[in-house]
Amino acid sequence: MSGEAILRGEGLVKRFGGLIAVNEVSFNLYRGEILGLIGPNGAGKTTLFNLITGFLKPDRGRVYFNDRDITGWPPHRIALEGVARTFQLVRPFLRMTALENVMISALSKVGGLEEAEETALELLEFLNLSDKRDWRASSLTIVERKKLEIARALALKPEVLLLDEPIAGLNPKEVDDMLETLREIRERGVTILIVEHVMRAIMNICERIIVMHYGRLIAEGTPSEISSDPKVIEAYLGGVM
Amino acid sequence: MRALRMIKAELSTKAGRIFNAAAIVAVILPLVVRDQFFINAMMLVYMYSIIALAWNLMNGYTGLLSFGHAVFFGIGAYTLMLLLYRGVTPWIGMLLGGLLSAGFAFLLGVPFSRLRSHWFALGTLVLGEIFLIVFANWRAVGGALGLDQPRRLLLSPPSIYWLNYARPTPYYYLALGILGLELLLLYAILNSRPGYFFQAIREDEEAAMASGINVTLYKCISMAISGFFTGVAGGIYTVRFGYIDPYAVFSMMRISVYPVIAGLIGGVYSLIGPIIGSLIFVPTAEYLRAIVGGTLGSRFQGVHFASFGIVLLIISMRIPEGLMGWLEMRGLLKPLMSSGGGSDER
Amino acid sequence: MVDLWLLGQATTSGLLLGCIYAVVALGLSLIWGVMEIVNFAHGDFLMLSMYLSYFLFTYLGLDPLIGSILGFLMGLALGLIVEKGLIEKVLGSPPIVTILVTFSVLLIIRYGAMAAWGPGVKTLHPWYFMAILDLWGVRISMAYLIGALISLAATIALHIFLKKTYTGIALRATSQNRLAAELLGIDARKMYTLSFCIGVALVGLAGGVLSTFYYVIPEVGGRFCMLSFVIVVLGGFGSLLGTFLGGLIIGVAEEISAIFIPPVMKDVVAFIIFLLILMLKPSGLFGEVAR
Repeated sequence: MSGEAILRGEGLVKRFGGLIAVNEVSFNLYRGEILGLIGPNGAGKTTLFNLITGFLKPDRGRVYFNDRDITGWPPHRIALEGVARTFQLVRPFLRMTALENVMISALSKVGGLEEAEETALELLEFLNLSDKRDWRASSLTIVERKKLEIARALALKPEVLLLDEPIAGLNPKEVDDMLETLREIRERGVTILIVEHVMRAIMNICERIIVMHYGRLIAEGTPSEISSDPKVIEAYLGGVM
Repeated sequence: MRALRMIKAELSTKAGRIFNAAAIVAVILPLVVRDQFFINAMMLVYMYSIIALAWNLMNGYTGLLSFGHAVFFGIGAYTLMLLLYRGVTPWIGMLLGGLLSAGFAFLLGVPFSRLRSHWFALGTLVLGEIFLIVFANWRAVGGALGLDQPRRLLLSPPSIYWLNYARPTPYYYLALGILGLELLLLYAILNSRPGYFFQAIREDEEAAMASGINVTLYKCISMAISGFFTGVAGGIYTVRFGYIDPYAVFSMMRISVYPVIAGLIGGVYSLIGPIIGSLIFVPTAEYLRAIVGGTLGSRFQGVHFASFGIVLLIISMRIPEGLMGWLEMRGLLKPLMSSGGGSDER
Repeated sequence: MVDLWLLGQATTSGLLLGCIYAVVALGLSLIWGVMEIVNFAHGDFLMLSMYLSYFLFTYLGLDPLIGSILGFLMGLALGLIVEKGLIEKVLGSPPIVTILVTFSVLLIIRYGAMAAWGPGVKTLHPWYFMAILDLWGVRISMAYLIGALISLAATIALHIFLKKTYTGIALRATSQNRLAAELLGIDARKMYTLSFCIGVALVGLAGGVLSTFYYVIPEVGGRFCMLSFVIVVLGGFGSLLGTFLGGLIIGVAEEISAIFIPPVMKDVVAFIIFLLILMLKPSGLFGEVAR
C-alpha cells in the first residue's frame, strides 16, 4: 500500500434542514487498499457516498480524486473519471438483460457495441453470471443482482469502487464468495471503499476501517484497533462485534 | 452492418412474417382499392403512426411521457407553410420543419429534464396550450384564422416538386415511405449506443448516471429525434390539406392525445405497438366523427373527446401493457423490435 | 417611466388575485406532497365548481359565497369518489399509469361538461361583487377582495389543521416518510384519501369565488391547471409555504404584465417565469432538491 491517497475528502458537511447528516468528515483512501466504512444506521455513510459520487452537493468541504477537485461534478462525470459505485438497494435496469445491463456502463467508456459486449461478457464471466447473460434483470435473485451491479460498476474500468452494503442479505457461503471476489477485484488494481454492517466480513477483508457516528468520523485504524476502541463500542452499544 | 443483420433476423420470426405481409399489402393497397375516403383514412393512419412512433421513442424507450407533441407537429406544419410562401419546395420545407422541431425539442430538454415524470408530463401539456395561445394571436403567421396555401399553388398543375395533388394517393405513399424510413432509423438507433442509454434512463435515471450516462444530454437527444419526425408529420399534414390553423395543428385532443391512446392500445414496449394502436384507434375515431358527428351538433365534440377519456381510463387501468404486451405476456407472439429482449425463465 | 401609482395598483390587485391562485395551487401541492401523484384533473374539478356556482346563482338565486361552501363539499365528495374508485386502485403501479388515470379523468370531466352544457361562455355577476372599493386612492375590486379573504381564511385553516391537529400532523408525516408513518400506526391509505379530498375541496371552494369574476367555460380548467403547475414549480415541490408565495408572485406578475402586454399573453408570462425558474433554480423558492 503506497502512501498516496487516490481519493480524499476534506471537511465535508451536508445538512438536510435541521439535521446534519455529514459533519466535518475528512478521510483518505490509499491506492490499492480495501477501506471499510462502518457505523450505526443513520450515521451518514450513504450520504457520504452520495457526496463523493456527485449525487449530492456538499454544503462545505471538497472531494479530491487523484488530486483533482471533483467536488460538485455531475455523477456521470465522476463515474467516467474513475470512481464507480453500487447502491445499497440494488438498482438493475430491470427490463434489460444482464448482458445489456453491463454493456450500458461499458458503452459509456467505449464507442462500439462489439467492444462493449466483449467487456461485458468478460465481467459476467468474472462474476459467475455468464449463464444468466440473456436473462432479464427482473428475473435474477438478489445475490445475482448484487453481482450484476458490481459487474456494471466494473465495466466503467474504475480506479476506485465504492460498495454500499454488498453483503447484506447473503448467506455465509455467498458472503465468502463475495469477499473472495472483492479480493480479486483488488488484484485487478481497483481500490475499494466498502460500507458494511456485517462485522466479520469487514474485519476479514479490510486493512483499515473508519467509523462514522451521527455524521462524524469517530475512529480510524486497523480492525483490531477499531474493535477495542471504547468510542466505537459505545456507538454500537448492543451491536454485534 | 450489425443493424441490418438484426433486421433480417427479426423479419424471419413469426411476427416478422406478418409484418412483411402487411408491408406488401400496404404498398399495393391504392392500386387495388378505389375508395378515396379509405385511402385518405389510411394516409391519416400512417401520419398518426409517424407521430406515435416518435412519441413512443420518448415514452416507451426513454421514460418521458409527453402530452404536448402537438407542439412539434405544429412547428413542422407552420415551417413548411411559411417556406411555401417564400417559394421553397415542400420537400425542403418538411426537412427544415423537422429540423426546427428537433432543435426546439433539444433546447426544451434542458429545463424539462429536471422535471420528474408527472411534472414532465404536465409541463408538456402546458407547453401545448401556450403554443396554441401564442399562434392563435400571432397575426404575422395568420393568427386564429391560420394560413392557406399560396394561391399560385392552388392554380398550378400538380407536381412532385410542389406536392400539390388533389387525390390522397400520392400523400398515402409519402406518409408510408416516411413511416418506413422512420421505422428503420429508430430500429437502428435503438440498437446502438444512444438507444441503450435511452432505455437505461427509462429504467432508472440515477443508476444510469452512476453508469456514466449524461442523462440530460440523452434526454435532449431523444426529444430531438422525436421532435424531428413529429415535425415532418406536420409537414405531411400541411401538403395534404393545404390549410393550417393553430386549433388544428396545436390541438391537444386532435394531435397530442392521439399518440398517447394509440401507444397505449398497441403497447409502448415495442416499435410496432404504436403502429398497431394507430391502426386500431385512428380509423375508429375518424369514422365515428364522420358518421355520428353530424347528428349531435356542437355538443358532439364533447361526447367524442370524453369517450377518448373513457377509452384511456379503461386501458390504463386494465391493460396498461397494450395489445402487443398482452400478446407477449401470453407467449403468443414476440412483437417486432420489442424493448428489452431476453427471457423470463425461472 | 411607468406610472408608479399604476404599478402599486396592479400589485395590490395582484396580491389579492394571487391569494386565490394560491389556494388552487395548494390543493395540487398537497396531493403531490402526500401521494406523489399529480392530479391532472385539478383544474377541471375547479371548473365543475364554477359551473355549480353558476347554476346555483342562475336558477336558485344563491349567493356565490354559498356556492363556495357547497363547492367545497362537492369537492370533498368528488375527491372521495375519484380517489377510492380509481386512483387507489393504481397507486402501486408505475407512474405512467397514475398519470394516465388522472389525465383520463381530466378528459372525461372537461369534455363531459362540454357535452352537457355546451361550449358557450357563462358569467355571473351578483350585484355586490361588481363594486369597486376605493381605499386610500387604491381601487380594489370587491370580487377580488372577498375572494382573497376567503382564500386566506382557507389557507390559514389548512395551516392550523396541518400543524396543530393530530390528523394534520399524520398527513405531514406520511408526506415526508410513508414507511416511518406506517410504522407509527398511521394508515397511509386513509391519508392519501384525505389529502386528495382536501385538495379537491380547496379547489371546490375557489371555484365559487372565481365564478364571480372569471368566465365559466369547459376549458377553463386547463388554464388553472397550468397556473397551478407554474406556481408549484416556482414555490418548490414539497413546500406549501412556497406554493402560497408562488401564488402571490404569479398573481402580481399577471396584473403588472397586463399593463404592458395584451391580456391574452398573460399565460405566456407565467410560462416564461416557469422556464426561468427551471433553468436558474430548479428546486424553486423553497423546494427540496429535485433529484
